Amino acid sequence: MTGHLQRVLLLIGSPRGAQSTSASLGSYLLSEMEKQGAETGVINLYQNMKSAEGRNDLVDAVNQADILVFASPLYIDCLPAPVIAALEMIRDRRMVAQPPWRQRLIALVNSGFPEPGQNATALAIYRQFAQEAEFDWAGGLAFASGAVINGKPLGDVGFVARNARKSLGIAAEALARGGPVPSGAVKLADKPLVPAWMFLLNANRSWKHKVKDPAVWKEMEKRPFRKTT
Amino acid sequence: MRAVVLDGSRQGDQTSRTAREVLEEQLKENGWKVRSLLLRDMDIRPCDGCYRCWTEHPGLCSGTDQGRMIPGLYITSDLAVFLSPVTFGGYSYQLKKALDRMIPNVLPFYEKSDGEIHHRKRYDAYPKLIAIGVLQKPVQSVEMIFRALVDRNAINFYAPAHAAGFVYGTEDSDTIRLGVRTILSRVGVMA
Repeated sequence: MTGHLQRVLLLIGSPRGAQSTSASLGSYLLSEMEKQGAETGVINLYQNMKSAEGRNDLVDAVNQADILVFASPLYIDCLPAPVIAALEMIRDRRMVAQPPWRQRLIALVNSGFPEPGQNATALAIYRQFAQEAEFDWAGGLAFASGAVINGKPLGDVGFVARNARKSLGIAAEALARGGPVPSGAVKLADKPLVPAWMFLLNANRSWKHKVKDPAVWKEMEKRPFRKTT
Repeated sequence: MRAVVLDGSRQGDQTSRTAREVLEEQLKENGWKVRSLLLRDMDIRPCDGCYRCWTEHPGLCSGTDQGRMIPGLYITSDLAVFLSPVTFGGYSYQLKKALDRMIPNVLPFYEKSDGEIHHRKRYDAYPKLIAIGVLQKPVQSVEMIFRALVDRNAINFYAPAHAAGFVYGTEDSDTIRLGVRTILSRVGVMA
């Protein structure tokens, strides 16, 4: 520990909130940090960004934290729009006032694709935000095949999430010591949860279960728009 | 030929305004029909991740706001232009709230292409893509992130050609005009 109780704030940036894979990953990191003696809190960015009161609460919570953990899905190759809105607001308000102590920031990004590299741009954006908003960048972890976790508590996901759990455990220990996310945690997070062939087979089949209406299934590849001259 | 300009600028951003006016002027001079959307003035709510555009009415967003028209405007265009202040290397909230609504334009199913897994195409043809980032002055680090993001979007939006470029707050309108012309020429939309 670095000498005082660390206050860690998880900021969930998914429309599914507490039911999201972002929450699964972030909550697991928080639980590991609690084992290291940290005090933790959670903010749902989608909810808080909807009202002036929520936005103020968000900034107050950010200003009380030692470590911020942003956890979000990959949307169109970067962060979901409400997360960008939150980052813009936090940066702008920190240009007016910010706590006198150094605050650190870690980002967790997950996507539906099996290659963690597809999350690289999102992590770069978080890193740039940390620099512009004057947080110390503690590192980022990219998790692929978020659908395998599908919002379940990470401890309940079983064997396929073993590397994700190990990665977050290593990251929590390092953060508690005041260090950045170690490369070992990054490498473990980068390991695909399932092989690409298995991902393709299962992911494409899974839609059959999600589509309740057989008539819709027949029209899955419908093209509702066409060009006119 | 149709172009759609998605303007994600903030209120009072004169550089973005000049860039959009120059862009519209140059496209029209070259025979394009241009539809510009000033996104900050539109009722576009964030995508709520319901996936009903895949599971209930394929290809159509279930939202009732103006965001539901974005996929159609995009896919029926020959050129799409993203205009945005460069925000931590990426797009502004105003632009991103529109882009997040575009997932109906691909299928939920995945396929492997060029060694990576992506959502499959829903349509045969997709528009060329240009992204113009607005910055007060050149900043190499954020420009690199922005270019990488546009490259990724071009892959996932199946753009047959794409280019990213920048205009700066320190530039006069003639310099912005030259910059926009250069970006347009990179995707072959200038006569």
